[in-house]
Amino acid sequence: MTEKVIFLADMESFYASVETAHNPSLRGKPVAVCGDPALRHGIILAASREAKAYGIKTGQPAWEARRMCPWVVFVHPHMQTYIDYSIRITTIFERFSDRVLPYSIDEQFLDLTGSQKIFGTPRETAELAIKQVWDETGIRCRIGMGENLLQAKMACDCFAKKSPEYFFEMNSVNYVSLVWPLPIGSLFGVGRRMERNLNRIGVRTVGHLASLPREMLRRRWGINGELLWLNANGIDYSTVDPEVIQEQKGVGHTATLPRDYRNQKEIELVLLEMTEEVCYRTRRHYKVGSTVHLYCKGADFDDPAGFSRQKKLPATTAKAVEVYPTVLQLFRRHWDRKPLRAVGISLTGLTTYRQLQIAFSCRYEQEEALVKAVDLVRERYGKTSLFRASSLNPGAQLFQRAGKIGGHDS
Amino acid sequence: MSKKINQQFHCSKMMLPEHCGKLRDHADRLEREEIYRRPVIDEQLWEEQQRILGQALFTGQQIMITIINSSGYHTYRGVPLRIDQIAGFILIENGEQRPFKIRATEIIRLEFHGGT
Repeated sequence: MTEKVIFLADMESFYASVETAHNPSLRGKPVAVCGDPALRHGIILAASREAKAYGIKTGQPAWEARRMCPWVVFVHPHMQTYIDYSIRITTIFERFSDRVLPYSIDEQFLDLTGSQKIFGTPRETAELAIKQVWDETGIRCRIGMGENLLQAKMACDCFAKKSPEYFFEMNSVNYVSLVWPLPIGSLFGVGRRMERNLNRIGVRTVGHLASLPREMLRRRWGINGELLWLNANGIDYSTVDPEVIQEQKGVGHTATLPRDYRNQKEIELVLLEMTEEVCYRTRRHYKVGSTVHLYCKGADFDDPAGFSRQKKLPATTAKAVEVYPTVLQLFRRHWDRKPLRAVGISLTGLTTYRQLQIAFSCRYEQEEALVKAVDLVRERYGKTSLFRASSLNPGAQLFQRAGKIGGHDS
Repeated sequence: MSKKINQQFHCSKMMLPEHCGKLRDHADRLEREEIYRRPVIDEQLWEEQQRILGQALFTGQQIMITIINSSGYHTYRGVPLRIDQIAGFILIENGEQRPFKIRATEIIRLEFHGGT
């Protein structure tokens, strides 16, 4: 069987690189992209290579970055521009393969199996792709290559990013010698909490994990344990299938609040606005949902409170008036009265609108027409053109969040 | 096998809904371009169509032009007024208020209206 050739292309300091490409006066300067500190979005989302040289890292508070490098240039994020650049890069990769899978805004998988005769060796192909991305967008990309998606990801994250050639090749043979000595936290899928759990049972390196019995890990952590064992051994069954992008399993919305919210009325107001937003987005996909999921994060970092609960709706729907009572039920039952820092709502179990079973309700058509009319007005004149009067109350977030993408300026 | 094991990267994707929407639009556009890609036209047929166009321009006869672009197939009927070889379009008069332009690169069929 032909061995697969999978690339993972990762863009270097993507947001900062786009800002520099967009505004050449920033070239050569330490640039850090960060939100508004007044709205608690003052963490570094991306730092340019020059900023990283001063020790500035992603996720750091802006004030700390300023202390490390007083002449750092802070830039507000422009999410729509980043999305446009990401699509441009996808278009460049599509010259090399029709199997391109964007994994995040700055990472894309390419399946180049069978293309070796067209573009040369994988190394030559990678060099060509890196050059084209650089020439056409001004963004530097690093490519990790493997026989499956996991190996490509590990090659990129652990080696290509540190390589002066921006390329690293991994396969099932050298995976053991390269990856097994790495600390367990470097393995894809191992977060901080899992790292602590694994350390507790004496697992320090990827090799340690790979040598444990698969059954034991499955018994202890279920599918996640089994998946980690497979990852440690360089086994991955994922495919680069762009069709999967078309699938939508749920629609969700999470927001970090501008301050700690303690007042029940204020929190419920934000929940109402978010329910409206989630339902509106669900309707735009011509879908209805059957389960609502509520997530609340406590404000105290040292005592991480909060909860994440879901409940099946009485009937599949995408109307805020029908979803909100269930959201309220969940909130009132599980909230421990401690201040909240972030809330999120998602609607899952989506089915197409056409499969909706209509209940015997004489107001169904009227409600439907009202929802459609409101959607049309909002689509044409913006989210703030028609809104609930409650959004004028203190604590409401509608106006702050309107026009933002991913919680940042568009 | 569990979906998480089978497609772990699909399950752990971090994509903004706006990004997914743009990707869907991009995929739709690619699909449309693939379906409505202009076929390679035989040289002899091309010469014949140029002859018809030249004659119609000279005699003021009505022609039927079929074009293909990303929005599909379209057929127009009218009298050619001018051919701009540098900009690559044909100006057609079809009884509307203003003559309209047709891109020469989108034409796949050109014939006299009602046949010759």
